[in-house]
Amino acid sequence: SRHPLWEDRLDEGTDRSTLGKGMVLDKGRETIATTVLDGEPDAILRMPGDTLAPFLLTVAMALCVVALLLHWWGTAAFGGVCAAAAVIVWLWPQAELGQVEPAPASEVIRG
Amino acid sequence: MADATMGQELRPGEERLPVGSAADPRASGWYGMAMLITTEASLFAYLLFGYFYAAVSSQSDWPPAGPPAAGYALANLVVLVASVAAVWLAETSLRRGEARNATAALFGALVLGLLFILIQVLDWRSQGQDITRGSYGAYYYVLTGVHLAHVAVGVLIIAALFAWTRMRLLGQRRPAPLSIGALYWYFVAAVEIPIFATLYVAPHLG
Repeated sequence: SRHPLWEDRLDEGTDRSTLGKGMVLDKGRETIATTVLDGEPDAILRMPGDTLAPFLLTVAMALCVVALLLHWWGTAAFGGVCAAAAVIVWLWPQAELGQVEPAPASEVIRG
Repeated sequence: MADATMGQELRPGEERLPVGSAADPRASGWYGMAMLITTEASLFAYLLFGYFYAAVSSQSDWPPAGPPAAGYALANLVVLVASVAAVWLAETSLRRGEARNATAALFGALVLGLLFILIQVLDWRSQGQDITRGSYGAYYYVLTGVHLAHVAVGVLIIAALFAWTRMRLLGQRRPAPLSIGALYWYFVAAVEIPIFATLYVAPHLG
């Protein structure tokens, strides 16, 4: 919440939550990435949009597993290949999310 | 580079945060992969424990037909070690900004991974073990089969990383996916050592 009700009850110091400072994160769907151990802000992450990849992945995995149970080896292989493809598509780096290596400055100038 | 603090004055000590995946290879995904490796390592530990338990409990010779031939397995061990070197070379090259070298190294690792799968299949055909008769055959195929499945997933990961590096989607400022994938491949290669020692060296130790 913006102003936790429990904040004043904690006797941990004088600092209090404020909306007047810090990151706004108002450029689309953004969130903070923090370091794992200390929780310090590390990067701004842009959240991806809607995608069918997770659903297709589950369908493919279900097909693969059911086919294995039924000893339909060809169908299981097909499901496995589809599942692999769905994962790769899902994890494909997207430039709009800042997941792609920036072009070198020289290429930007020439472009 | 756009960030959430654009337009705002920075106070002393503050830095603009990068947008997108962190340049630090120790991104959250790296720790996630480390946790996955921990669970998968536990799986192999259970399987190896089961193998030795069955060996100790066996009323007959173990292995029943004597120690298996280690030619193919030894070749595979060399192939995996070479692939680790290739992946390590790709990782260090990418961090230095040498994308072309990283791409070539990843291609080499991909070829070696596929070679491992081929040699493993040849090893299975040469051993003549039967998964349905006795516990030794079952453990042999489950141990090597589960490892082969992990290698196959690793080959897919390397193939994707090769394609992304080739397309210049990964680079010196976005190396995290390669580091995370490399960590998985190092695990896959490391697991081969105790498997090789268990199946092909331990029977000679009496």
